[in-house]
Amino acid sequence: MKCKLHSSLLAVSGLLLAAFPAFAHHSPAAEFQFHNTVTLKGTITRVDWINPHAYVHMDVKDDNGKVTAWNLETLPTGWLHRAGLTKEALQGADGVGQVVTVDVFPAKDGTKSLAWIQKITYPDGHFFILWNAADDPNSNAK
Amino acid sequence: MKFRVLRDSLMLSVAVVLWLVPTHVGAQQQAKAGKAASYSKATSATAKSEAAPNPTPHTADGRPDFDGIWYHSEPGPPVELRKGGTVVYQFPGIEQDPTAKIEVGTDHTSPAKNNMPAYKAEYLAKVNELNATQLKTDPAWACYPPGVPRIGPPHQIVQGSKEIVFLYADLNGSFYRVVPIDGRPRESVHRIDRSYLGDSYGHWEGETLVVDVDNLNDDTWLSDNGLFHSTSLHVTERFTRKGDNLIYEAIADDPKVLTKPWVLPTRTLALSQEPVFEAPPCIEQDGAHLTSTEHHDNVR
Repeated sequence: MKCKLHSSLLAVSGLLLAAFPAFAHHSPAAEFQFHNTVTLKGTITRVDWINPHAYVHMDVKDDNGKVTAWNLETLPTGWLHRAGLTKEALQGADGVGQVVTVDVFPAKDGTKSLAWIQKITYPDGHFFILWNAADDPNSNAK
Repeated sequence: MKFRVLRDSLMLSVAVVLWLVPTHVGAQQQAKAGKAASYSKATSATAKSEAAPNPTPHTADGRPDFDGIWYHSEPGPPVELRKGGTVVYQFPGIEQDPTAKIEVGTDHTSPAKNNMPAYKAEYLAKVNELNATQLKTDPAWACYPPGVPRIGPPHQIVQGSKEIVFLYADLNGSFYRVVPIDGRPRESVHRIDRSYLGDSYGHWEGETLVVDVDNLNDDTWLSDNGLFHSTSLHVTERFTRKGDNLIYEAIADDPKVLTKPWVLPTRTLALSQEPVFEAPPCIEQDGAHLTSTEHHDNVR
């Protein structure tokens, strides 16, 4: 039986990550701006299912037609796996070229096109929340 | 203060998740919600060992049988998945398989927390320096093999009558160790090159398998936070099975840099049916972008 549940609750807590030291060593806060959320829409070109962090690579086209290749970083593969996420699920049913909308936190050091994934949403409406910015006191993400 | 806020935020999130589960959900989802509650309790540092309900199996030659997959709870953030309108909250560390067990009785913080190795005075400055620069100096951070004892207990054990094989699906890659248990000459396992996981030699002390590890290189640390060691390191591991639990103990003895052997916290693992996945490649790409030395422990 399928039931609709309230969608506004974010189950992933960035602070929860801080409480569990199995996280891959460096703190994401040392690398990404968790007070600044950017929303990107584009197509996935590749998913790197690697450690210590998996990456989603996507092309984003601006209003002038210029394409920028983004490198979007996320959790260790073991954590994604244990949560039931596979590389294929992250890649999306359409594979290479999958259209997605991603909320991300850009890099702090000014590197363009490098960011940390907060939420990734697919055209059919399903999404994965991989960081709960709402629990992060330094974030203004919705 | 900050920790209480973190803890309270976590507990509130879990509590709200459970409250939102509608009363008409099926038994399976009720089981998931129940597991979510047990997840937050199980990962408490005060989790207690459970009494093993099953007898300890033995091999044909009368030895305790360690064969099997031994669950490592790897706490991670719960992930919200929405499929076709149904939201499923999956919490790493709590299997969907209701028969799977969790690791119990272990404080999943660094083994050196409240239990630092006793370094000789002349090495304290080096430990502090490595601690301060660990994001640049920790070999494990650069995806090198973690070494022994830092790699922790194996994820899977394959036991024969002559050798026992430890398999690891580590953050830094897939590793293995072959441990002879047939009483062959000790010198027969010695290799001319020092290695990250060393040379291992096993012998039985009653129901406990004792594994001596030496010939380790010094390109590893005992744990996070600058805990280097020398090539004088010798590690003694003890494996004891009680029912469906595997008790793992380790002592790291490095007389060159330590004043006494370092006793790691005992870990109790539970037998699991979850297959061990091949560890993907470890490729470090963050170091060049870090703007501070802020970090967490990197325990196994």
